Amino acid sequence: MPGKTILFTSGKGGVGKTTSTANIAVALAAQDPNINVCMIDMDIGLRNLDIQLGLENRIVYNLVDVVEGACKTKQALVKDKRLPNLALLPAAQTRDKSAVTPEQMVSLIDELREMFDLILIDSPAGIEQGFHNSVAAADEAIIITTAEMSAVRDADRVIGLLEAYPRKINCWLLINRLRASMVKSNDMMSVDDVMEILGIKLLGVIPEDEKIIVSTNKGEPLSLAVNKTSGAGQAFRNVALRLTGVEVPLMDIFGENQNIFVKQFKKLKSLIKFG
Amino acid sequence: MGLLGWLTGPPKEVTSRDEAKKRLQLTIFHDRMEVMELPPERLNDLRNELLSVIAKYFEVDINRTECTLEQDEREVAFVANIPVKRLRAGE
Repeated sequence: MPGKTILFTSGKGGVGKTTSTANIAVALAAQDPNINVCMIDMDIGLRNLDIQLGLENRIVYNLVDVVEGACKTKQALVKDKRLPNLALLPAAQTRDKSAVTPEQMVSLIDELREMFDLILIDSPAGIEQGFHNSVAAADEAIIITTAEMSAVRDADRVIGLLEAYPRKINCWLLINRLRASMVKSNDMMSVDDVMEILGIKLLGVIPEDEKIIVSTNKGEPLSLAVNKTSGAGQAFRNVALRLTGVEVPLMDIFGENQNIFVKQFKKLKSLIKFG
Repeated sequence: MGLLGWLTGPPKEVTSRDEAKKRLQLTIFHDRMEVMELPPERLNDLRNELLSVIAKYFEVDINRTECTLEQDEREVAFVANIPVKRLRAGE
């Protein structure tokens, strides 16, 4: 069965697209050694996914080299140092978004679908060519937002663009960096507030976690099983489980039972089924 | 604080969360309209054209006519409330 493509996008920069891509990819590969996962960094000119994964010193070729035929696809893929079933196709650092076209992305991803079960695309910020290159071959889209006004507004714009695509792309919402204490004191919009405004299905909620900075410093995503005590790490692992069809209730980041959310996930049966 | 104020307690504070949600809902609504290329003056044109068609069949109360765009989840509906006075005789 050809692999599925999942797009990570947000419109606004700095909400956690790359962090989410890295953490969810690692969790997906770690939870099942039989699932082959590939990440593509689409942020040509400003690559960062390699750093988050601690793979920055292993890059030889990149996405643009593959598209231009300077190397074979396999030569550009960087194997993860911890998980043998995880690979990264890095972005070029010296070129810009116009170095590839949506058509080239479709044929590249068609080739990757034969090699991997899941292809995770880390889209750049914005809604210009980099975004269109990223959407070109996506089957599912995870819209990442924080509970802040500008991030939610940009997320709405991106959802509108994805809905207008001729090809059907399923949209899922991932709320990142939620501060439970601020929601409690009515100084931050809640999960329900954001869902009401955006009107798409909820995939997960990631609590604000200082450990994310430490994990990036080390190049070790928080969702690695060693980080047992991290709230964000666990939340990312839960998202990975939901993506493979496991029902996981929302984490209790409020220190109380959030029954509404549990019901939400009952509806979310299986997003991606493996044959 | 007068007696009434004492009975009802201090006025309920609008939280920054409520404010954010309200401002955002309005902004996003306008964003969606803009993307759909339907500025307010176009909406007014639509209302007038619609009324001129309906006026062929009914005598309507123009002063009480309301045309709005309402939002439900990710869909926007055009809602027209046009009170009818009487049916016009067919030609």
